[in-house]
Amino acid sequence: MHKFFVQLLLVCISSLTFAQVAFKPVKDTVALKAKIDNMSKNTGSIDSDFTQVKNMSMLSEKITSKGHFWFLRQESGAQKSNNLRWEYTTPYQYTIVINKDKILIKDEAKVKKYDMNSNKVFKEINDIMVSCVNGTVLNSNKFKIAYFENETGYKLELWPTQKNMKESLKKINMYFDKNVTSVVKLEMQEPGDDLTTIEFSNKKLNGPIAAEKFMLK
Amino acid sequence: MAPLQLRNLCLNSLLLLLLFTACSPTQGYKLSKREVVSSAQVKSIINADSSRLYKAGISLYSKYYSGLILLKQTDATTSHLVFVTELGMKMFDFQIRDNEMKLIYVFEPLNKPELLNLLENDMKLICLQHLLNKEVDVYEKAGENSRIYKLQNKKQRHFYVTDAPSRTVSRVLVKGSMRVKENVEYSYDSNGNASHIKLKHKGFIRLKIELTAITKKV
Repeated sequence: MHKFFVQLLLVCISSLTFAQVAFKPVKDTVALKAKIDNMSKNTGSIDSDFTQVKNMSMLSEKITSKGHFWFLRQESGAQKSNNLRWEYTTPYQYTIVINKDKILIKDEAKVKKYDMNSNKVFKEINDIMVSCVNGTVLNSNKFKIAYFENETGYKLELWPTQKNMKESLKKINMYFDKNVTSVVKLEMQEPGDDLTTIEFSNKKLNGPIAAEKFMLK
Repeated sequence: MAPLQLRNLCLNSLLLLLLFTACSPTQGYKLSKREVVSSAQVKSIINADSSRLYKAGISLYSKYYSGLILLKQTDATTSHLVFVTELGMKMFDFQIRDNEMKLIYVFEPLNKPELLNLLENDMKLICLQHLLNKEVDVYEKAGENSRIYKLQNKKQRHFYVTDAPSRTVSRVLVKGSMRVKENVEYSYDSNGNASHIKLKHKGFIRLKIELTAITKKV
């Protein structure tokens, strides 16, 4: 599973700017999947800034937040774990850490700890986010995936197949650079056409990240 | 009736009377008139000129939900109250039109009638929808700027403690027949916009909602 883990991590992390050139279907999807697998295998850590924009179409309203993102793949013998930290810094302070099967949240000064399965609502949101970040979404039967490309990169459209997920999520778009070295941008489109965009910038791949980053006190 | 029982009955009645009068928010105030509350008397929490964004924390029994609440007026009679998580997923969207709240969207795992009724009532309370454009009793006190609006229905009494010059509500109390059921407290910034709102249920329902204003631009 870890090989997919990095797919979206990388997905989430490129500072490339995509030209808005029309995308067309990818002919050789097997080769593209292989590139994404390779990208995942070669990425052990990611350290990046991110900008998130929530666009509420009906209300003509945008909420922009910024922060920092860390990913670390840890291997101890046969055991592998994928750790994530999303740290929102402006306009509010909020940190979410996924450490194995634990979810840790720091909201202002309060720290909350959850088992992954203890909160149905949280699990639903988290499953979507994590599977995008760790790339398991590519192998998931919860989505039908369409592959597109233009001169500067690739776009994967992930359409939910399950009824309950369709009620909350219309589709996810994942953008890769042309060499598939990283993910550039994530877009999550809701049924009412609200759109959440996360763009990654200033990324550092495979640098050292302390395990303490994935603990909260 | 035995003298001892009679004495106990009198004492209990006296205690209850004291309890009622001591807890009444209108103690020391006099009923001055009955009027329909408009924006000339009380400023709406929803700003007609610009949207308001709040960091929101909702504690419901053992669960805690955090996110952002956006309040926006979209036309002369319509506003929206939208709750999204920090990660961007929309949880619910209430439309407010002519003092009526209508659920436009809810994230499916939250689609539970009891929960939604509770949230709807509390959001109406926070947004002063029970007060604005309603005919209520007005209580005033000589030499004081504060004014209390009292609204009564079959089950509950609502008390809105306001500052008349600034037209702001500082506190809302919802009382049942015996006790306080809900309490909402407001703080304001220098422009008179609500900067901090705290709602708490008393008694069996363990629900707290806390909103802190933040800027949308980074």
